[in-house]
Amino acid sequence: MADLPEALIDAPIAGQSLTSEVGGWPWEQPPQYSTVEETLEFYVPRLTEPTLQNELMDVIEMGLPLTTIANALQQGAVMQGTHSLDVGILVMPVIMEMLAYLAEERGIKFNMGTNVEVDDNPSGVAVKLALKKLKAKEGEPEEEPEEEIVEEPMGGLMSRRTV
Amino acid sequence: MNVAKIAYKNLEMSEAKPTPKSGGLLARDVSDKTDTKNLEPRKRVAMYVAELRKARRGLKDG
Repeated sequence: MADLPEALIDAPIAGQSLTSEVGGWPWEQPPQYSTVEETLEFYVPRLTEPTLQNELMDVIEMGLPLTTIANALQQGAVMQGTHSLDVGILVMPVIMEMLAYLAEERGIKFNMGTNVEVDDNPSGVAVKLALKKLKAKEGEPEEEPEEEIVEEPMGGLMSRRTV
Repeated sequence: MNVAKIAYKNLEMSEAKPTPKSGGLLARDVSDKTDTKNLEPRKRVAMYVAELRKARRGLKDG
């Protein structure tokens, strides 16, 4: 238990989502846009809007990776019920490329954020679970074999004698 | 875990295929370029990304 990752401890309690009213959150409602094209039609005018574009370019100029910006944009839209999470993940590369295009148009150097190494190493818990599954698959008994019970000779006064 | 990076890296960028010749003047032109509705969403996204990259290259080249 000591090597549990912190993220697991911070995770919501099982059943926490059932404590609020069903459909109370925007993401529990059907999304406003359900296709990639509709979602892009929602994003493109916003990204090219001068006010938002200036703010975005400031952030890009500061060196924030485009992956982070695109992720934040799509997660915000998911939370507002604009589109579903899967459509958001699908359109993220287009948002990143769009941001890169806008930055390049203005001559701003940008960090795509795709060169950062992703930690693909499994956590300690995952490794332990995998080992447990492997052992179960190989048919190794997890419990120690029972010791043979050696019958002790009865030594009482009234005990039957065996020849 | 950087979801955006994974989504970007896992894009299946299709290589440019030679356009098939149409059968005649009145033949229907249903090539990959025109028939975008029947493509899978991931392929459509890859197509949009390719277009934007091309536009970016155009900006660099002047």
